[in-house]
Amino acid sequence: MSEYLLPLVTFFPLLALPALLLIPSRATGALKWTALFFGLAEFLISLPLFFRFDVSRGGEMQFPVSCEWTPDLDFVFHMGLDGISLMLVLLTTLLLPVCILASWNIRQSLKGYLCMYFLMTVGMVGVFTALDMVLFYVFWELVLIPMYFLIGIWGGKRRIYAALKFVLFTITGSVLMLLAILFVYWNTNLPGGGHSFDLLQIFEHFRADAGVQRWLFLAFALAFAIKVPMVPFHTWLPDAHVEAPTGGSVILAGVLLKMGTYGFLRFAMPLFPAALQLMLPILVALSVVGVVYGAMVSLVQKDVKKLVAYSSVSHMGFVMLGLFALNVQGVSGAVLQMVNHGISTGALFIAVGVIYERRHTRMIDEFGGLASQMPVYAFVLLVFCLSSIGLPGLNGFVGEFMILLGAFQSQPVPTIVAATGVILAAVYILWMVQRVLFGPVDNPQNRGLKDLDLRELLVFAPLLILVVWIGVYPDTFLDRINPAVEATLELMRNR
Amino acid sequence: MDLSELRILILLPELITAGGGLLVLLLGALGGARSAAALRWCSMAAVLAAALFCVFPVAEGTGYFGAALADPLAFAGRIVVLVTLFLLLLGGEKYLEEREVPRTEYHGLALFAATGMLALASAGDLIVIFLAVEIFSISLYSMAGLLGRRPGSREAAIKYFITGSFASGFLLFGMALIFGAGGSTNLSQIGEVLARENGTNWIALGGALLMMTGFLFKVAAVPFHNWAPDVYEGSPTAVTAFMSTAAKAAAFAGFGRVILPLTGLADDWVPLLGACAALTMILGNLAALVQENVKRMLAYSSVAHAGYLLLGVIAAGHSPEMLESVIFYLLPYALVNVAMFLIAAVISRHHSGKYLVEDYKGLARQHPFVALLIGVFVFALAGIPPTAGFMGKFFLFSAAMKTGHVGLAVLGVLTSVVSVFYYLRLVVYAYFHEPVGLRTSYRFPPDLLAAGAISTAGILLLGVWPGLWLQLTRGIGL
Repeated sequence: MSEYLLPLVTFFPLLALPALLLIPSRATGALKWTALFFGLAEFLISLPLFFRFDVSRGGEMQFPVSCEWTPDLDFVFHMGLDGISLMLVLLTTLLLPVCILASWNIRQSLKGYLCMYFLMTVGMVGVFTALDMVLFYVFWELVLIPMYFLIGIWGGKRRIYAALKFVLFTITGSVLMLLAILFVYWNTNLPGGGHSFDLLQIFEHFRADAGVQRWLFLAFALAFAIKVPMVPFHTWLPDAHVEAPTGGSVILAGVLLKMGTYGFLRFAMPLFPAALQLMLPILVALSVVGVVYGAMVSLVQKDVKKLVAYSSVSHMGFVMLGLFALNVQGVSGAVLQMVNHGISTGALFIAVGVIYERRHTRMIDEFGGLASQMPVYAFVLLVFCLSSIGLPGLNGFVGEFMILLGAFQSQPVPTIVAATGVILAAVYILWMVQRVLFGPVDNPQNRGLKDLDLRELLVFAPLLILVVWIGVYPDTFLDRINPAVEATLELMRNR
Repeated sequence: MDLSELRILILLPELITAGGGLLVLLLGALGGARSAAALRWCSMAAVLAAALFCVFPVAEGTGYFGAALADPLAFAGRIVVLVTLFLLLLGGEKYLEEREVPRTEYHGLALFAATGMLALASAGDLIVIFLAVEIFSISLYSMAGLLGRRPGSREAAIKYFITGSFASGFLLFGMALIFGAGGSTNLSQIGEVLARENGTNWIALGGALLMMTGFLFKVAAVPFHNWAPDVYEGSPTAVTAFMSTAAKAAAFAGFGRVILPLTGLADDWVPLLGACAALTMILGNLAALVQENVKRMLAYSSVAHAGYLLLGVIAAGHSPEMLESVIFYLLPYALVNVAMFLIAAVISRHHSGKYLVEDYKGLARQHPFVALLIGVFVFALAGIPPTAGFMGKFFLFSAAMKTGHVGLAVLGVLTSVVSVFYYLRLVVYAYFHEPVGLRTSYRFPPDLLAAGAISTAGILLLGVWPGLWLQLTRGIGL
């Protein structure tokens, strides 16, 4: 049973496609409920990964599947899941039904819209579980096409520009990674002869000197840095986020950005540790610049969605800083923060979507005093904002604190600089909250806005629970993340 | 001379297509315009029968004393040509009817061209290679001019004929030099003689370069590509679909044939061919970037693809088994292009009539299925998984990386990124724009949709299980 679990979770969303395609386009209700059913089913199917995950062997690849994929080639259908992948897979499967429920009011070509989410889920889960380089690359690129359509068809005014920019940026990064994968393949000489795309084989048998490693690392790092995004490759992100429909933004911020950080941790860093050491100062510097720059740009945004988008640049800078701490605290904090960012920022995008649906604007100036009109909404938004800032007791605090603690040990000065990002985050988020939620209702259009309905509450509920859960008792998650992080760091030291 | 050594049945597929061509001419002469359907069925039957005897060969080994081969390269090359021609016959009928392309000549010439292409894939002798190239080239020159009423078609035919004749001249002169250096016209004997040489044999190298020039013309690689956009644009679109796919596939199979005995000289010709490949990828993609005409865009894109395919040829110069990457890519390349051109013809006819990219505006609204097909084709051309276009490029770049041509591979992937931009324009117009104005609704011929669906299915299937096709091409070059 357990060997079928990962392929099942990965490919189950494909079953939703024929079901959705068979329903006539006019039956929007049926489409939505079917999609929600499959989304929830996917989440439920992925839960055994959590419950059957053996915590005591958290550093190993569990639920392994390894079989021939296509005849006559060195591709292997090799999947596995350690504590790091586990968190990201669950985040992905959780966000799928959440996004579907959050997209209830989409009118335009609903069928295609819903199909895109299921296609993307296949790619995202695949990315986090693939242990064969070609398999990984195929899943990596698979995510691209649905997101391209999601932005291009259901996006805002500048959607075509944003969609194209997103695709060109991402592809530019990934094609060079493809060549690096091929180079690694031809230089992984198995003892029995032949070459391998299998990640575990590569870890064991691939050796290269620092000079070669540097080029390979650069190729991988470029692909991942664009995805994260690290400054200066972040310019696609505000466009894509702002133009994408709400659900698209949630997936983009919640999962797609994590593909970059995950790639660093799973591939680029352990494969080329010597190159990592060479590049570390630059990478740390870019992370810190990302933290501070992202925060400062957020400060001056007039559009709530743009503010949240730029705050992602800042937060992801933190995650990168945690990864480059290269100790258990920092890296585990980074992995937890990936999940935290997925939840909080995802929720913030949904929250922005909620007021956009009511007012058709996202300009901060247009709002004010919403707390008196939509008290429940105000409460929800406030919680996620505080989680995003890192208020103790909520999830953001645990991740950020671990990152700062870990990074301070190995990179004291950059960490101090990055810590100002925490302060800036408090400033831009709370200032936004103040202008949107509090103060007098001076715009008559804001009077009598409908508060959250049951559906919207149900969208936020699971995310709220997780925000508190991770904040109060992060051990549920850290118990599973830590061994995997230790194993990865061990791998880096020994190679 | 023992006549049982002749093994004429090795050439059975070629004999079938040639016989089919003669039958078509006869039918056309007897039945006139009324026999249109019969001509098509007859051609399709011939193609299917030829393919059947490729898959289940009645003779193995070599025939005609080494002049005809039944090896994996012959098999794969023939299959690509026959599959392409089959799809063309399946999907192109309505086009022929609407544009009043003379049917007898079209079908007859297509089968004769196919005969030449098949023979080129299975050739083991320089003479056969030349004959095969001439058979399919002359058929294609005539096919380019089948719409002689239109000046564009006439221009295409003349241009194709003149440049093609030049190419043949180069090819023949190169063969003469190779014959002088190798003492034989048989490829494997030439290979053995040249392998024994110490140091560079300048006559052989000169011959090799001239022959390669001939083939670079045929595959439309820079700097011998100038004919392609004009000829592709001017020819009847069904013919363009044929020459950009089957003819290119056959030319690359022939290219593979002639470089295999020349691998000993690889150190001398690889840099030159590498320069051609680099220029082809750069120029093809940059020129495609600014085209507003779909046919010209696809023409430059096919130039660019010749550049990617040259990477595989170059790799084969160092390790011959890498030729399989070229042959692998030819199938998805041909599947995509043959369907793209035929669909473009229908769309153009019902919009501007000028093959403008803008004609695709709002296509997804009116024809979601066709838009879906185009989406898959475009992603395949751009080399994005899970399409066979990705796997094809993957193998080509893998071959380049294996043989140490990292620079060419980097150039290849970066120009692929450029290509994403112009290919996606079609998707942008089809999906992200509203239809312009009120168009009279029109329908795509069902047989064209069937052809498109077949090629899409093939592209996706090979994208997920590339081994299905690759294991058939294994052993090429060995």
